[in-house]
Amino acid sequence: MDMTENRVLLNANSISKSYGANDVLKGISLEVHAGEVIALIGPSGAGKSTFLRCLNYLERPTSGGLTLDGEQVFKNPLNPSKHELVQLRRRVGMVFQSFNLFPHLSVLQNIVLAQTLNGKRSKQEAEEYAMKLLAQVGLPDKASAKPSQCSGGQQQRIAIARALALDPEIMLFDEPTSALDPEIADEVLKVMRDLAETGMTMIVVTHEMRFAERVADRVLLLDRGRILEEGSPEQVFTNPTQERTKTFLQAVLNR
Amino acid sequence: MNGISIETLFSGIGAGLSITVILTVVSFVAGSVLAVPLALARTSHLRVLRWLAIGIIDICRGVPPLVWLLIIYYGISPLIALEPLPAALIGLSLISGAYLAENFRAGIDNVHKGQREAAMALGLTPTHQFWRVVAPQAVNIAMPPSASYAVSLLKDSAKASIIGVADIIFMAQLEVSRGAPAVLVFSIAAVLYLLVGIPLSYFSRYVDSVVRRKVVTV
Ligand SMILES: Nc1ncnc2c1ncn2[C@@H]1O[C@H](COP(=O)(O)OP(=O)(O)O)[C@@H](O)[C@H]1O
Ligand SMILES: [Mg+2]
Repeated sequence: MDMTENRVLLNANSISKSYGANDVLKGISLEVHAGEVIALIGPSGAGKSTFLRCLNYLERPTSGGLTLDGEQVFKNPLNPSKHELVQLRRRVGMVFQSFNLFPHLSVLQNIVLAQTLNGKRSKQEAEEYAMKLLAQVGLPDKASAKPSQCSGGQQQRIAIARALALDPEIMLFDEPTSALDPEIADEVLKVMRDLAETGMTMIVVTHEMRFAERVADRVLLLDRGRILEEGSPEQVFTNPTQERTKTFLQAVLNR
Repeated sequence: MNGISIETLFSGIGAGLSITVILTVVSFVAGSVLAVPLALARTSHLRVLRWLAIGIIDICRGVPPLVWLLIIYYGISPLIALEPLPAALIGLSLISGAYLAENFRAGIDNVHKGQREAAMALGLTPTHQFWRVVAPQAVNIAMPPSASYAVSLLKDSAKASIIGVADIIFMAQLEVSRGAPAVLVFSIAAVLYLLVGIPLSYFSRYVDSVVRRKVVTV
């Protein structure tokens, strides 16, 4: 089911990033429509994580601009203010490969923390909302557990709930299942598929080609800091235009 | 050896026990308080603050505790009539502040960098990132080495007797000057140190085992 609207939610305009002489991103432009699910694929070291992290400014692009819902995110993209950074990150959720739950807090507190500190909800409202999200990711009985008492798949589902607690307009996933065994990855992928069906806008860096094929509206193949191939899953997987795309897909499918 | 029995020796030397405990506890607590701003300066983005903190920490730790106590006592007491006990407390607090600051610093550095990133990605302000996510984990990491530092502080406190603080060693020397056999007297002093030190060591191992289950490090 395609939930894509016409409205452009996020516009990345010619994002470049260099580490010294290493040009990791070479001017990537991308329009993400509201409700769209984009799968970002590509070989390791292509710059996928870096690109994703430029979208919430965990990494500061060397040049390029961002607009969110038609508005410039930063007055001066090269020198963002603390306030602008915090605002951007409250609207853009992120899920990491290594979950990064806070080990000193309970599962519930992990989901409550940012809601209350950001002044979004009172403690009681935040806890109720957290319980609702835990139910949504299938873990209502883990509220008082510590992250260390949860399996990897459970931790990642909790991390998704934690990001959703801020009601983000768009969710970024950086290889959310790469640290998990295949059977366990499926439980996380299911939560993500359900989320996509609610109309959430998502950019997912992944090596799960079946997920990309089934859930994504658009597939982008990033290679050496450039978008090499772009199209519907069908186009990219069955009819790639570039020789390198074929080689990459072959390598992934033969793993 | 008139009037000298093991019991009277124990109570005579034991009279210094409370001072030894006060020296250790007060310097440890005051040192922990001092260590916080020092560790913050030590990990600051501002180079000046960082260098200042490194300078203070290295000087405090580089000079032997005994020399510090002598300098503080003989340097300050002529000016403001400082008693031996406060002089020793000041000296030992400064030294433990420097050691504990390094423990806190290592704690801050060893919190997994993904923790701060996750806090950032959740739109927490830099202040909240530090105090609500990094600092609690840094304290957990710093706790085991700090608890074991308390044991060395207990032993370092013995040097305060040199400037006339009436701790275990001071009282022991008093007994020796009254004619009690030195080997016996100092063995009793050793037993008194062990009485405090061994529970402290067990406590520090306990802290270590608890904390190991509570933090993720790099
Ligand atoms: N903090 C960094 N400092 C220097 N180089 C980096 C840094 N982060 C990433 N890189 C480099 O950028 C390139 C792309 O990395 P990354 O975005 O992680 O790729 P991918 O996620 O596609 O595997 C790699 O060559 C990597 O070495
Ligand atoms: Mg990556």
